[in-house]
Amino acid sequence: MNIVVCVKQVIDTEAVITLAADGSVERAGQTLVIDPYSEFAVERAVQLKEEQGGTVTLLTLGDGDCLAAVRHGLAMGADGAVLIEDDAWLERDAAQAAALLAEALETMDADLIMGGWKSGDTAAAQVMGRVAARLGLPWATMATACDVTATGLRVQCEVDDGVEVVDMPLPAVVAAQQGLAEPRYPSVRDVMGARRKPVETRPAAAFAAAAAPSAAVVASRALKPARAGGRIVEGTTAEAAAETARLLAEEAKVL
Amino acid sequence: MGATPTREVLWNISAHWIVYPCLLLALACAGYFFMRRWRLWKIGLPENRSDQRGVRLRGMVRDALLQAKVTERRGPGLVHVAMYTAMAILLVATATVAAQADLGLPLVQGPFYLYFLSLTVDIAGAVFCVAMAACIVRRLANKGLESKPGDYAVLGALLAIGVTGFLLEGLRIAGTDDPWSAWSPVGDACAGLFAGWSAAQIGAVHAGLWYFHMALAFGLIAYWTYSKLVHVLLVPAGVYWRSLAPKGELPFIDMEDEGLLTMGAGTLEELTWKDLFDTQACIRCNRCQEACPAFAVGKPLSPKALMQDLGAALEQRGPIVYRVRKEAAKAARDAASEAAAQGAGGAGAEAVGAASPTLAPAADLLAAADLTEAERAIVDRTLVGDVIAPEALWSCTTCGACMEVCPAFLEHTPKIVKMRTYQVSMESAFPPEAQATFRNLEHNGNPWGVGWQTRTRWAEGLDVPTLAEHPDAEYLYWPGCSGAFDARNRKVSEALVALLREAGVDFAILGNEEKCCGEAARRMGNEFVYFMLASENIAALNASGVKKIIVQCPHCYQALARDYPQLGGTYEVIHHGELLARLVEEGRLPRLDGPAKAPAREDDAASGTAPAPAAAAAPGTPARVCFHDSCYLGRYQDVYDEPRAVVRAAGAQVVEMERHGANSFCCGAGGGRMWLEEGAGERVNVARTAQALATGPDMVACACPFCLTMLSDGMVSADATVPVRDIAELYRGALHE
Repeated sequence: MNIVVCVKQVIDTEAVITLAADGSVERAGQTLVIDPYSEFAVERAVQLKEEQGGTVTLLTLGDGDCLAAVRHGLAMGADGAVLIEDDAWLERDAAQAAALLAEALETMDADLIMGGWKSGDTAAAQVMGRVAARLGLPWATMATACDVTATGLRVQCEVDDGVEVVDMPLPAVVAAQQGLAEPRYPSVRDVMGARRKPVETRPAAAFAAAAAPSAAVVASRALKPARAGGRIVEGTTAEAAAETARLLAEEAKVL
Repeated sequence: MGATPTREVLWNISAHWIVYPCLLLALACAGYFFMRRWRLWKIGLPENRSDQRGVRLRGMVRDALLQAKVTERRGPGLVHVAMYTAMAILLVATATVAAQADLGLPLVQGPFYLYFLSLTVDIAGAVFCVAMAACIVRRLANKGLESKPGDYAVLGALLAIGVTGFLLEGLRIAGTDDPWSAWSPVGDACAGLFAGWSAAQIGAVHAGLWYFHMALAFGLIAYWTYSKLVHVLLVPAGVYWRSLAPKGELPFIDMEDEGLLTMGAGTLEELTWKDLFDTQACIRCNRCQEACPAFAVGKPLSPKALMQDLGAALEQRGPIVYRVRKEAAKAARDAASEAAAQGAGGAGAEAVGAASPTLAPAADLLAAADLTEAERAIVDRTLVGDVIAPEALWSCTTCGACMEVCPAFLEHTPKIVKMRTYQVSMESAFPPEAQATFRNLEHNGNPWGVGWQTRTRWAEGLDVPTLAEHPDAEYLYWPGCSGAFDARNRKVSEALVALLREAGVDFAILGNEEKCCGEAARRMGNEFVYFMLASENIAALNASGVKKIIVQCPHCYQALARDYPQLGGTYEVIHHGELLARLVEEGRLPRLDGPAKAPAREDDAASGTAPAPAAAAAPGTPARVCFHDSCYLGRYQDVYDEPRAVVRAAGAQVVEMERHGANSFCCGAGGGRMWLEEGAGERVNVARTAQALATGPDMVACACPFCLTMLSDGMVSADATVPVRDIAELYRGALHE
């Protein structure tokens, strides 16, 4: 089975974030890691390869700095990678990112496309669904289990207060939720081996999708105003209840 | 008494020449078995253990010949010295008799005969027999020794040799009516057994018994190097070849070497010859097992079993590896000489040059070798998994208590770390919870994974300069991850900073550039993460021209002082316990003599009575402070007195646990165990806390952040309210009372 995993690189989830003057997150000096949701997908993909045979290829939209995440995925057991090199990748919205990834995937002949259901930084949860739509493939998201069956895949998806088990034919798109697989810790042997695995770099400029403008443009960013302290109404229960009702009616005007 | 005291040597023995061929045969057997053992450790990696010959020889004289280490354990140690000395005396006596009988030297006469050959040898023989009997009884009584049939066979044979020796002497005395027999009291007493026997009876029994005695002795010599008695050779050799490196130093692995194919020990032949030698020199004396904190609380680790299991596996695998390598070397030589014979000129010379080529790794040779099914099964056994249980490997706290007590100076923990290194670096096989720690170290340079940008937050409001702000500071203060991130240990950092200020010490910190020292990562086997952390730290330290470093964590101490020199970082490192003691000594910090000294309450110390509550101390009585030695400050750095001096300078009285100093009992956090779950058995920290509470302390003091955490947790588990403090907090508290 030929599996392609879309991998994003993000700032370490424990990092202390500082904001630039325009309100965007300062990336300089930050530890960059493979996105945790991408990592779940890579792990399951490598497991499926180990079970079923085939190949795992990573697909990343980003700049040269993102190679660290790619190398990590290769050390985990992926066989090769494609980097859509794009210095403007951080400015691209989810629709553009999905368009670029889908265009690359058209020529990659994947039986299964995987990725994180959202990313640890922007958490838009848009890209994998849009990729599936663009390629016209069935899509399962928030996957916590993914197994190969005689007819395709059986995927367990997290839904509110439960799980949904879906069967789908291949090719398909599966977006990983935490719990899909516990990512392995690559050994030094794996890390060394990853240095020799092929990484194909394809400039974004060569993609038709790169020319399309962003569907949404960020106008400005601002922090949420600090929460004002609440008020404590004192007195006996009956008095406090009456006073609270009065405040809700007269001051907050919600009653 | 006009006659010269003497006796007829070899009385009643007509064909004593038989002993020489027997001896040769026995020695040949011993030589053959020794050769078989020598081949076992031959398969290991090279390692130089022949430098500093003078130091090594002196150590061998002290600890092997004079048995200094052996007698550190009084009971069995003294019995061992008794049998060792007696055996030496008996050997001299036998040699003397042989010299008279066959070299014609007139030795067996005069005062030497009376005082030495009769009296001394008789006493030695008696001591020897008693010691052997005592050993047999000890083995029968103490099941913890896990005695094997071979142990009894050796002791029984030695005892039989001793007893038959006395019977022979008695028979000779009875048969010759020896006028000097009073000088051989035990033999004389034995002669009484044969009173009334005819000369013929005595002669016949004597001759029979003599040959039996000889047969036993030669049998034992033949069996010598096959059995545990080989320790007579291997333990002195092991003492000679002991490690003279700074304690806790691990083998350097060059992570920048492009040709680095493997690291650590994944097979026996990836250990060094000395590691393999150790498995042969171990005599199962049990001291390491009794010292091991993991074993004491029921974890699946025994340092003795580790040595023995490695040794047993080596006896199976070693001969196969030895043979396969030998065959490969021969094949390579044959090919080379053939090429040399055929080829002319350049090509031939080249082939001859390759006459002793580096052989392929043993794993490749073994994979290609033509082995029987049984041999294949042996070589397929994995070192960790089949030979050593992973649970045992990961139970070790690397506290070094086993090595401290080993009379043969065997090295247990380096083998464990080497195996862990292979497991983590090459197989990625380790307790799952370690993964988060490794990740945290990689991403944020601290084991908790707190954002690296927050490292200096502990110092906010304390006005501690960074090196960037104060580049000329005399000392770099290295609070370590615990001192910077752990809420409890930040208080130690605060106390220490206050004391350094008070004493006028000129210091600065590295700030957010500081990363975990990597000590835990390295001892957990993650050489790669250690290398990354250490390299970045060394780059930062060297760029700032740091010379002197104050650490408050003994694990940082180990890394900065003992690990970093291998990577080009050489600093003068001092633990805050040492520095505070020195500052008190120099008068830069006051010595707070407690009020009237309370009467010593030594009786409580080891009695294990209920802990005395702090309130019980009479007013004006110095507080009873139980000091717990950190393994990496004590055993590894030999710093025992300074932290105690700080406790005393605070006006407190130091009380000791039964296991303190070099014999201290680990808190359970060393060797990266701080970051691992505890599996089977009791918790090590709970056991240690109970030992501390048994001294009835007002306070428990330590000098290591891990110990502080573990003992504080132990107090909670024990529902005890005795405070646990770092010595810096203790001293500062007393100073500002």
